Amino acid sequence: MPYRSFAASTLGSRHEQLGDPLEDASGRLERPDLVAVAVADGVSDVRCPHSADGARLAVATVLTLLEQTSVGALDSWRFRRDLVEGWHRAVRERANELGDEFHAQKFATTLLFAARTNGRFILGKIGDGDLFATVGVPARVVRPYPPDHCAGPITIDHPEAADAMGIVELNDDAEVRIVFVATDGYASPFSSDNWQVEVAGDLLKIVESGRTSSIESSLPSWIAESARFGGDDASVGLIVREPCPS
Amino acid sequence: MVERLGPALATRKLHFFFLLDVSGSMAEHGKIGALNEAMRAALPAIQEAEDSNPGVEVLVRAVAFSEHAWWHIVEPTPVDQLVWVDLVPITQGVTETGLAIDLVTKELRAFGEKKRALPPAIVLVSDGQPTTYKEPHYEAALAALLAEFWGGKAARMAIGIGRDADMDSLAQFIANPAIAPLHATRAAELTHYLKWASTVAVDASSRLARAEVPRQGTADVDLTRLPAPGPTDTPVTSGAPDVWNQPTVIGGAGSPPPPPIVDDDAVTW
Repeated sequence: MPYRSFAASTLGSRHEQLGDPLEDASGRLERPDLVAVAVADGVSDVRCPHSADGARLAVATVLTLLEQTSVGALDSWRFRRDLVEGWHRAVRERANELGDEFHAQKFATTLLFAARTNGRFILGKIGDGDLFATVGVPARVVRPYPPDHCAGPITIDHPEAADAMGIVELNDDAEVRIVFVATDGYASPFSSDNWQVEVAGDLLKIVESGRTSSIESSLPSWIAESARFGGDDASVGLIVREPCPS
Repeated sequence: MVERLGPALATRKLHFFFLLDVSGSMAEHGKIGALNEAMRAALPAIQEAEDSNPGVEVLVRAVAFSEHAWWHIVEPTPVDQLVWVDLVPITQGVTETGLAIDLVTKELRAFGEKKRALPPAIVLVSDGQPTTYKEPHYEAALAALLAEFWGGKAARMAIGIGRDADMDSLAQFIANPAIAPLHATRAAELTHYLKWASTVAVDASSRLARAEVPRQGTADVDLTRLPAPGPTDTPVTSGAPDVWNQPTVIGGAGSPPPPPIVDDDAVTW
């Protein structure tokens, strides 16, 4: 499969200053028939003391679920329901381990994910953060959801999370070359509201020049710059299609 | 190795407005001097709050108001460059708070709906009741402020000075039943509350720079998540006398009558 995945998270300078833990999480999967990435941003709030665990478990849950559903047509409603229920099971178990009374809001987190499997891309998000893809040649940036789509009170712990979650599919006809997900700590310090186009352009240049592997070593420093400047934890997940060998 | 992705990084500007009462009553019992001292103390506190919020630049302006409202600090000034110039009360001046709010509303309207902007912070300090000799009157001006895109999203705090401060109108200004205006009855309290309100307002607005998810169902600044002010450094039972609860006399033809004296032994503002 000519697709590669990358993902990384960095502690924000503000959180570091306050002695707070990394509340973001990120993860990726590469299988013969599946490439997937996910990022999550645990809610910083006194009512959410375990949001770092919530973020980590949200990433783990969605990657596991994507692995299980990589074959066949996607039943969007069932996927959303299974994801929310799976996360609830995971955080309930974690609450037991911590010896804390279970309340889902204590683990509140956003979640953004993307996967390439079975001839199509699956993109999803709940809570704020950024998600975009490049389609076509020459590439255009498409954003299936605005950054604040179901932001505010709707995170994965919310009773209506499964309904509120956004899921879209892009098939191979769309000629997707880059899929990008990020927690909002990544882009908030950018000076331009149109940063997605510039980021996509820079990434395409890297990929087209045959330096895709360099992303792995560069990504942590790209994210760290945002986290240092903006203060918030930052995470990025990325799927890129390598150019066909000529 | 690519140095970086995407556009340059830039600070986000947080516009901070002080609305400060310089009506005639502020000349009494050292209130104006205490307010000037409190402002001098608040500015370094705002600087500290800015320093602890990476990527945020605080720009301060101040409106003074009595029978008119005018920019005491007209240019948005980086807090580290600000030198406080003392306010002077207007002899027999009334309290046209609505005019001061109107000035800020017009400024905020000019901001538009910039995506990268931060909600502004507005701190109102007054020792009296809004008078209504000129339009817009207080309630209309406040309604217009709250209807503005950034006015409604602003972190708004209010401090009443002394017994005659109209705490109800200050609560209206905050427009959030979960947050009560602060009531200063002596100089040490005023300094303490102004420092606290200013730094809390910066912190609250800066939260959106870090884009944490609000839990109250809106994207507006949520001041209820922030700690309440602790006790003043100067215990209220010692030190300077409580002089600000003495009833003030607002003189001049057409001025509202002074409130009744309810405590002959009152020694506070």
